[in-house]
Amino acid sequence: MSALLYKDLRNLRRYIVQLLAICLAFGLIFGISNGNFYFVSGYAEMLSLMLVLNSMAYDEQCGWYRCALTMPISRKMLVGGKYLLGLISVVGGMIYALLLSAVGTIFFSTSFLEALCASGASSCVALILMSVLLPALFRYGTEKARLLMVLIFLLPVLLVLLLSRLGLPAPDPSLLIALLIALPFVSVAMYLLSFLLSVRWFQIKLP
Amino acid sequence: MDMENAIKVEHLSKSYPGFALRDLTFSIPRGCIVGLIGENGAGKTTTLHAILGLVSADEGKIELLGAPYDPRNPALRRRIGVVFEDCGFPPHLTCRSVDRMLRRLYRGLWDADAFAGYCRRFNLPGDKELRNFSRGMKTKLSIAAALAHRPELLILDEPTGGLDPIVREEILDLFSEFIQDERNSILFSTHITTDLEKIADEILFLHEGRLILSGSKDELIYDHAVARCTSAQFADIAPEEYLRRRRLPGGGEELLVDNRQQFALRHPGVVLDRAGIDEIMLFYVKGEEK
Repeated sequence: MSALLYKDLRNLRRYIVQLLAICLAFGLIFGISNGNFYFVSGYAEMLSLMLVLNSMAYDEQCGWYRCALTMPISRKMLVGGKYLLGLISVVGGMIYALLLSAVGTIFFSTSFLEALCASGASSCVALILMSVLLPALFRYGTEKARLLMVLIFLLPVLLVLLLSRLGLPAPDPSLLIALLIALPFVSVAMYLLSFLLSVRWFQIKLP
Repeated sequence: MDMENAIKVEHLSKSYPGFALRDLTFSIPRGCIVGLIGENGAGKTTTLHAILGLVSADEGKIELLGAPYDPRNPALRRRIGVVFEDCGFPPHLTCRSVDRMLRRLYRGLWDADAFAGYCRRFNLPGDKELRNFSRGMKTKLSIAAALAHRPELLILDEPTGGLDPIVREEILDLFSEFIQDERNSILFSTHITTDLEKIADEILFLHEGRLILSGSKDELIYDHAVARCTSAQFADIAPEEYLRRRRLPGGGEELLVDNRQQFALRHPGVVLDRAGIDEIMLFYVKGEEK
């Protein structure tokens, strides 16, 4: 597994540097100047999602999967490598968001608890999105799964817009707290199930 | 278990819409270089992929290095080196990072010094990203990577395709060195029959998904011949005396025979030329049956 992780991180090295620069710039623009740290933490998590997508696109383009399956790498290990990369990138995004929140708390007196909840929730959402997306990418490839990617990014936005237009009353705070508590468990469970599904689907694609 | 064969394939079949690999049976002894030839679409790559478990065969049994091959068990793949036409390593890696990656993957087997030696021998720069490599450089890297974990079996799909004669010669030299250890074997597909004539011990000839010819390269070349005859001479030749036939545009016939000496004795007036692998292929692909 360490070989696969090394390969991905080494191949994406330049891209990771770019992402860090973007996160830093957004942190400065939206966080420190506007005090909007929640947006920045959400954005960092979305970028971590892009990291995994890009690594899969590279692998597909250069024929890595076929090459890897002639080496002592099992299909489960190959799929697991991507899930581990996903997890690392989400945790990386969360650490960045927490650092930013700490800056906000120290210099702008924002609530650290709120920031913690926001970064935790966005990490969980990123895991859930990956749970949906990764099996499709393993089954159909990045080219065919592109439509699904667009839907995954658009649907939550459309849903929020729709709900705000409907003028529904704000949900009960206790319900929100319960959701917030359940979210990590749901996202981890989904991520594990998604891994098993990806292994199965990848075996169908490359038996 | 058959310890003498590096590869043993029995009744391998695989169907796709519009193409089928039919009932292939062959074995590759240890210590041999075997060339897999055939026209485009004959099934060479499908055969190699089926052997490696990259496509699931509809039927058939495959043994690699004396053990039944289970594609879901990667342990046996530590003893095999594979080279495909495309390199397979991600574009932003360098030779150095490929070394570091494969060192982790082939723990205990990877010979970093040997890999560095191959890279030096092939003039592959250590820090240049693979996206800036030429096709020949990528092929050389794949071969270096396939050899540096000391495999017993090399399986290569068109390793010399699109390379200049100097690079091809270097690669063929490397194969000859690899085969010096008599436990090692090579199976490679190619279109370049001069490469086969230089290094192959045996030849497998696929045509439209079937194995139509296999055996020792020297015997194949020695036994086969092209008989060039006039229409009158052709009338005296029985159908069982030749394999395939080609009509010449200006009249006359060319026949592929596989019993050169007997044919020469029976028909002393007919011109007999040595048949190279190219010509044998051409007769099977373009020629007519009896």
